[in-house]
Amino acid sequence: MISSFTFVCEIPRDFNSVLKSTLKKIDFKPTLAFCFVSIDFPLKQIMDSFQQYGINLFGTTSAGEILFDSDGDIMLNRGAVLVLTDIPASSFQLQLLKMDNFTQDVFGKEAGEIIKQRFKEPSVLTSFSGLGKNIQAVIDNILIKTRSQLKMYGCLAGDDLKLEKALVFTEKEITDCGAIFLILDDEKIGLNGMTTSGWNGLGTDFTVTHSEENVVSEIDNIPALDFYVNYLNILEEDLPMIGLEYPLMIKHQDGTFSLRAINKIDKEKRSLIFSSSIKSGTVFSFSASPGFEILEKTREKVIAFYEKNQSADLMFLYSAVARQLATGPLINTEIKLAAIKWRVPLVGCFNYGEIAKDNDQPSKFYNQSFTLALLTEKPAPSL
Amino acid sequence: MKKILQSLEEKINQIGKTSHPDKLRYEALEDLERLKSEISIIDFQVSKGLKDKNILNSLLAKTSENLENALKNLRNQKDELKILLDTLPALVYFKDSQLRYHLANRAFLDFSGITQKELEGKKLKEVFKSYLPIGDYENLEESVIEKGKFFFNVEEQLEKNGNIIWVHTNIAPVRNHTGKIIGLIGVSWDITDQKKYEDELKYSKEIAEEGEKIKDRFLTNMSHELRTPLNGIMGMAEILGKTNLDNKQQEYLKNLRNSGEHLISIINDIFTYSSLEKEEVKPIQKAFNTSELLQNTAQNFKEKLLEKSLKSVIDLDKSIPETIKGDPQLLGLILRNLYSNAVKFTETGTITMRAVPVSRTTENELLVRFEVEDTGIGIPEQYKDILFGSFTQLDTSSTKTYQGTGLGLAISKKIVNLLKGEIGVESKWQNGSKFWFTVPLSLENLETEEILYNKQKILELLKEFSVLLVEDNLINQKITSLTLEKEGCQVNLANNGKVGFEKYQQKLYDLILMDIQMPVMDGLEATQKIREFEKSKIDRHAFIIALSANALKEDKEKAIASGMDGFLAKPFKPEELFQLLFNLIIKK
Repeated sequence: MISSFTFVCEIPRDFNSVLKSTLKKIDFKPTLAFCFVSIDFPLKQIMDSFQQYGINLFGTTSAGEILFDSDGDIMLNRGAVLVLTDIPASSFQLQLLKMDNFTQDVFGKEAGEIIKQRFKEPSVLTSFSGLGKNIQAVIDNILIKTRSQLKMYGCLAGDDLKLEKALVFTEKEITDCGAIFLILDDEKIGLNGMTTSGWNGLGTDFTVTHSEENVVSEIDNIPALDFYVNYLNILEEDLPMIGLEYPLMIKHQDGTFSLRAINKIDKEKRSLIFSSSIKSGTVFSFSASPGFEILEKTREKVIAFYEKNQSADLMFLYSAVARQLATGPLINTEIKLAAIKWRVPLVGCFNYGEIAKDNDQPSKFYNQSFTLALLTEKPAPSL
Repeated sequence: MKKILQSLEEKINQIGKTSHPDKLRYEALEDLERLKSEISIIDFQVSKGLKDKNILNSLLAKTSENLENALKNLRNQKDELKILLDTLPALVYFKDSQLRYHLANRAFLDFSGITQKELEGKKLKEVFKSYLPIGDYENLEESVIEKGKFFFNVEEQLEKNGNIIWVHTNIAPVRNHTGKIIGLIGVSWDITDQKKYEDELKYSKEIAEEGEKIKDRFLTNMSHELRTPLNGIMGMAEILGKTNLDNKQQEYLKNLRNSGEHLISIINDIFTYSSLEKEEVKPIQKAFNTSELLQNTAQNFKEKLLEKSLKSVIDLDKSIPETIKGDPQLLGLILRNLYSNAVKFTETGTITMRAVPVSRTTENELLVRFEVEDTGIGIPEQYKDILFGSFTQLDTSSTKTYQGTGLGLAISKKIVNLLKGEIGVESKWQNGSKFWFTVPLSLENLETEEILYNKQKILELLKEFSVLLVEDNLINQKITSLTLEKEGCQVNLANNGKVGFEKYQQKLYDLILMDIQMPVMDGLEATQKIREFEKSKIDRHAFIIALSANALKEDKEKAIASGMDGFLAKPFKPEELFQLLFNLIIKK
């Protein structure tokens, strides 16, 4: 079983002392820590502290932090949420990769190669920075190199809804355009998860008439930014923030759909930028949250998932920030729905996009989702 | 919230009346917290609602605008569709799932003589009272509705003003947005004229086929009628040549033979061309010796070359394998045609036959170019294009210097095409010609177990054979028997198939040479009887060879089908008979 200890730090200057006293308090030797933190926190200080203690750090800036501690209390948006664990060093590899000038394809394949080489059966917890990058293309290329059923869970980091620059970091390195990968030995550490959304389509269908990769420049032959602003009767200044709440519902030919939230705009080129490719010819409608009804959907999906996956040592929750914007104070209820089932420590964050492998689907990039990932130490095989 | 307020009110009222107010005060504070939480949710809902209101209103307005536009477009499209359907000459109709008419275009209404209103809800036989069903049209409609099948070109008959109208109909299911079949669409068009043309066409085809049969019959008869006396002439000339003749007589005999051979080649050309036209010739793949092919071709013209004092050169490129695979018979035919022309049109000089490799088309295929080059009169530029046409002769004057059917090059071109090659000519008037053709030849599995023809061997065997010649024509009887007897064979005669069969029952001959067309019993029937006899009474197989003046492919097929082992077209040279017997007896 993975030993873990969660804690929060609300005041940046207190971080060192909080960490020090926590380390004194716990009865295990931490090997790996997870940190979800506000972009306004002095990240260098956090990194240096963990480096000083020789603890690996998996860090992500967020659009709000989530913690469900062992006392059953939910704490949101407290500055920094951390969990210390004793996952054996032989069961994981922590890797930060910078995208630099690489294309998403090259970056994905390089990541895939590293993931593939470390363990015979790898699985991955990940966080991406790099707003406006095509995350789905990276995932696709990772899967090309590894295997189509590779389990990946994680998020696109946030920046407290500033939508300017998100960061991912380890105890040694940091990047605003790249990703961290916690490669796990799936034969020793089990990783499983689920994702659900609940957004509804609104109004009639439209067609993307010009796009390149994840940049949509024309919708129904009108510049995409003008179309969006005009259709929703909003101001240009409201974007990209409002785009998180009113994503496009992409309609696939097989009847399924995916939600794609705007996370950047290009005012000069009048285009909208997403975290996934949207091809010319794509048919979509606008979508919105039906409000509290999404909680019911989450409840159903969580119960079904729990029936099949009752064992967990530690949980991660990646919730689209739009869910908090849509449900307000009731977001606590949604988090509780999940946390209370397993009654193990849960940490996570509100973010701009989620990565999950849901049922038999390959790992994908999602928007507007409630994504859970469970970590369990597997018993050693009997001789 | 109402409940929380009620509970709070009760607690506040009781606080003054109780001696232990602290517990109630604590519970009241808890209610207040719950109230605060409820209010914060309501507050969020209100502010979120206000924020969403603008966006949702805008979405609603735009959506309703879009729907209105879509509706307008739909109406326009409906009008356009109606105009389109009404201008179509075809009968278009929609039926509901109960197969009741729902909508039809103008052509349909005009044809049926009823209005749209009268049509609605009616079934097929209510609209077309004298409907003449063919097959199971109504069942087809049911399977369109039940199984969603499509049907095309369903034939129907309708009656209008006492006239039968033939129509073709396409039927397809109509589905709603959920994919459920809600009816069908039918499109019918008048094919009465087409039907008439079809009947006429059928009649014309029958006539044409009959014509083709008549042509074949004519060719068969002509073949027989020409070949039988020719066989006599050539045979007699052969025998005459073995007698003592003076120089003048030998000169006459030579002219006689030349004319006979020319006539044979004309007949052969006509039959070869006819077979190629009917696509009866199928190339085979057989290993052969390239050098032998060229040598044998030139050898055929040995006498003529000597006569004209022409030099013959064979130039075989060393990089062409000695043994290669293709159709040696067809290649030989082309080479003979080209060589024959070269000899014909060259008075002095040299005739060169050449074979050079062009390229490897695949790993196992070599493209070879054959050339026949002469130093003859050459071909004027303006004739080059028509050279390979049928019945083409450049000398069309009444005093033709050069004889021929004009089919040689046409035949060669057809064969080259059949072998997937190309043919052409390079020539200058008065300056010689070079005819060439290319053919792909295979380098695969070249091991050949070919047993080379050995005349001596077959003649030795024939001396031990008892031979029966079944032939009604006395001259042919004489020629064939003399030819064989000259080689030491014992030949007995039978005048028709019946006698031939009887003689075989009395004496089991080793070889039977059987004419086909004979009085009393023809060769085919006689052969069948001999084979039945062999099968039921004796365990034996005599070699039966057809000697027929009918040289068409079907004649040969009929002979083989009757049980014969081989086929020789009359007139034949003794050498041809020996070669066939060698193939039949020694090779097998």
